[in-house]
Amino acid sequence: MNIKKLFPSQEEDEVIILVAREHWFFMFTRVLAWLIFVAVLFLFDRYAPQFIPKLFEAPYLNFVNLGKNIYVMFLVLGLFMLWTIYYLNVQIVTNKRIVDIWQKGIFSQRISELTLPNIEDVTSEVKGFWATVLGYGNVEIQTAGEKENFIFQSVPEPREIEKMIINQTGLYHGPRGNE
Amino acid sequence: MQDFNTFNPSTLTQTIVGFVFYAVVVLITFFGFSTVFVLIKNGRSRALSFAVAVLYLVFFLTIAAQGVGILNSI
Repeated sequence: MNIKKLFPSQEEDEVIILVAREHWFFMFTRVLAWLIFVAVLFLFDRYAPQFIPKLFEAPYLNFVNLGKNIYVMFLVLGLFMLWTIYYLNVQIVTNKRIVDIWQKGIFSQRISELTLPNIEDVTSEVKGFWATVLGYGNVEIQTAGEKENFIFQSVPEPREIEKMIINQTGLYHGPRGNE
Repeated sequence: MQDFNTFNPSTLTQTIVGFVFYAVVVLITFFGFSTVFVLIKNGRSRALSFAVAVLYLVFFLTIAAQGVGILNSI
């Protein structure tokens, strides 16, 4: 697979330790919402001929088919955009920094970076029924100074990610952590 | 004899429906191609990005072609 730079400022010798993405459950709920719109189309095909039979006779039938065609085009585009935004939203931990790439929409992207020496504390939180069952949660990274805290939202295995970041910060600061 | 209560597609109707259809297709093309561009530009794996983009384009072009066929039959 052709892997390119994950973020613009990635250095040649920078090692990617972790790439985290929102838990699949959130993509699943979005797909479920999308499936409701798909179901509307099937329900229309199933019940509309009973209640509005005239719509399914010439010359209206062609207009109905054209309407359904446009609807399907929007459905396919919607699913494609949902997946793209999900795929492009990533949090990356390297041996030098933490990067949060937030793809808000197709035309809106925000990249925040935090170098390891600026990390003060890391907290993981698993809250709620589904989070406990499926094992996702938030990881909050507190920063030195007045910088905004980093939050990895709804990532899988938050405790493992927390440990990994703490280990990485320790490695960066040296064995005694006082470098 | 012409029954004025029945709806008969005229040239004007075809023009309006055609205009609306192509306006929607242009709109969807814009957002679809923008998404393809952003995905290929920012996606981590080029192979996966290309595969998904091609899959979308095949679906989109097939459905759009079907729409043009329906439009011609109006």
